[in-house]
Amino acid sequence: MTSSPSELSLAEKRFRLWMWVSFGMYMLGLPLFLLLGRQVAAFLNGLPRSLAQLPPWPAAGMGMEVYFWQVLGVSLMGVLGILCLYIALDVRRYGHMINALLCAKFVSVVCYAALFLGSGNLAYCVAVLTDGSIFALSWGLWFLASPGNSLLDPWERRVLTSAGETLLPQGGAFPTGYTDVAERCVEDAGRFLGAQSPMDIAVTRLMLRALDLMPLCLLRLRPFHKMPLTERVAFFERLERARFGPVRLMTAAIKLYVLIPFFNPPVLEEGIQGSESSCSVEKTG
Amino acid sequence: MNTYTSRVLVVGTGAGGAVAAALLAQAGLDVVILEQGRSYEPEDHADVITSFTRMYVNGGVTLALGNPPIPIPLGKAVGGSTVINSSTCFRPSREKVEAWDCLDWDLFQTSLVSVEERIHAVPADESLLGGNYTVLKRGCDALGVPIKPLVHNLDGCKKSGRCTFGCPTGAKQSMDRTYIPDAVAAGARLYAEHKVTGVRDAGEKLTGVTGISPDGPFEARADVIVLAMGALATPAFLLRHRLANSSGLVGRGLRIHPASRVAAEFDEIVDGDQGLPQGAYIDHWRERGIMLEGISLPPGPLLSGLPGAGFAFKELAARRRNIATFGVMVSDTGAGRVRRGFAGAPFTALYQLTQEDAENLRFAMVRLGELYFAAGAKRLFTNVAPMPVIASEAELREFERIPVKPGYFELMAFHPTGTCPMSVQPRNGVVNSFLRTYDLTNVYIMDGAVIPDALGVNPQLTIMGLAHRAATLLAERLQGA
Repeated sequence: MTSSPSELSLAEKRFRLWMWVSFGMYMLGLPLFLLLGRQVAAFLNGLPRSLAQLPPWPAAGMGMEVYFWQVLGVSLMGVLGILCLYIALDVRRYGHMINALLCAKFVSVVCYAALFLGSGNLAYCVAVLTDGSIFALSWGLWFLASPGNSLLDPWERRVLTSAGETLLPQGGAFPTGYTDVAERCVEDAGRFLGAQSPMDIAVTRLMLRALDLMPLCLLRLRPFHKMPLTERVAFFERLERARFGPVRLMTAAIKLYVLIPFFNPPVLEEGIQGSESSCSVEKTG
Repeated sequence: MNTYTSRVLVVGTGAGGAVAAALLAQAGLDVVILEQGRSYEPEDHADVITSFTRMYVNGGVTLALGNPPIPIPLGKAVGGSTVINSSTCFRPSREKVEAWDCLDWDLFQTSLVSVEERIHAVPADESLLGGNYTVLKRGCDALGVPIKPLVHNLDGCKKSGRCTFGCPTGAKQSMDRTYIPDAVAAGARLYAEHKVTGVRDAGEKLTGVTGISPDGPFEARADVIVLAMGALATPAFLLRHRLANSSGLVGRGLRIHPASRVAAEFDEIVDGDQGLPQGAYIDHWRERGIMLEGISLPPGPLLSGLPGAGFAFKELAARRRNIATFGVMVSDTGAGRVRRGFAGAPFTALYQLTQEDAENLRFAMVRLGELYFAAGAKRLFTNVAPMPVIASEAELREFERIPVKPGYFELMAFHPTGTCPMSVQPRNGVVNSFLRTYDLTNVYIMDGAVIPDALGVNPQLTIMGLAHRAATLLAERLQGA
């Protein structure tokens, strides 16, 4: 069932509009590249030399190989166009398909950048700027739209829950773990976030994503939320000892979003039994 | 659009604005007060998250950017930050005030005494000081370091330990319980949930401000305007509207009184939150600008400041009643700045802790650690990157020796000041000694922004005293007119 446009958040509406624009661009670009693709190089080389003193882009040949790549490129444009159409028709259902477009644009930006650095051809620079802008805009709009009417998207909620489980696993000094009350805690964390400015909410979301991706950046095999508990605990403790202040601020902020909701009433009436003398937390307010 | 017209307009109801509004209204002047936050009753002060979301600017997330980034929590309620502060009242030192070269100490003291009487500022009774004080006093006695009860604006404290989330019993004599009711009783009109966003006719004079409220846009016009939005929001507002900045000093000179804390685990139950969160202080090393003040927090905020994860952390959480905490603050040797906010933020604060302050903080933490170990602590939690946990005196000595950098510390700050300094020289200040801006003849600034340098103590009483004195003189002038 498609989500009614009136239910969409402002960010989702903006993202949907961008998807319609993208769909239009691909549908317009597809026949253009099919028919005139081989003239692009000549056009760029025809730009006044005063504009840029760079080597000319090699003109496309006319052999079968060129047609093969041209058809392949155009068919990719068709695929991306259809993806954009699906997303535009139902942002909530198909929004995540944007990852395919992001992946395509990321690869093309990296390749064009390498080619530009290697050859100095202006055309590759134009391609980097064009695809880079599309990548940045698509990612930014999707990032803002992805939580829908919530404040955290499913990925970020998963990371928050896994951070909660890392800090307060089930069992041990008292039986209740974060996962036992995760739903209420994530909701409370959302309430906490809801009072903040859009920029601060975005920063918190980025911190959660960064926490999840950091193990991969440090050449671990899994993102944070998929690591085994003991490995996650060690990793989190390592981040807490980082000498770079913003990393520690990230762990402190995530701890805050886990622990304040966990220890906020009413979890405690049933929650932290088992070590009554040293851990019961009085209901306040 | 709602339009409010008055003789005097006061923007902000914190320590400065509330006092100014009350005195001006009591002098028979027509006063309108605008406050962006809501008005709360003691029974409204519920759980921690509700307090953060309702009574703190931006849900409690206001940061000074630097390495490390430093949270500066600010109040957003009728009463401003006095609703969510620890109710600690410190007089500024005479030397400090005289160094400003703007105030007559004896006259200023008269204002301070008057404010102290109204807000019931008295040294806290020992029965209110809680477990944090009890255990640390043991260490202080052993090492011969004096620990003293702090002066608080309290009346009938029930030891709920919740000062920083809004006093649930109404014992804290914050501005919403004292000067704001005084102002309203004297005829002032208070408009809560009115956020000021714009100005009218900025030339030699400001004739009014505009803003938004739940009822829609509003405009407030007055002959005299008192800005008291706080040391971060006031300069950002002036910068946004290009006002009062011929000196180029608006927003510069930000002091925050950088703070950290040391937590200590004991075998005994401490129950630090069963009493005043900030009951006692140690100023034994005041010549270095160091002030140690008690601090206790509810379990969530307390534990989120302790290192660790997993079952070991859970063990610590289970023993939270055995944890004592005390804050360390250093008088800033550097300064940051405030810029106008962007992307919806009311301001942007930039502050980089100096190396000297970092060394000073470490010195203070080590001294505090010695006191804790003398009191029988098992281990300390510093949250300083290289040694977040200290398990023995030998490790404390090592902590004293290792190189530290500003970025290693986990800091907070509660006392922003200095962003619109007071001076008798127009080139050295934004306001004169009457707290009137040099550039706009009818605009006064009465909040922490006017304090010209690092105060070294909790500033609420100083702000109230400055506002008291300036509002008294302003009332006399307006009555004469």
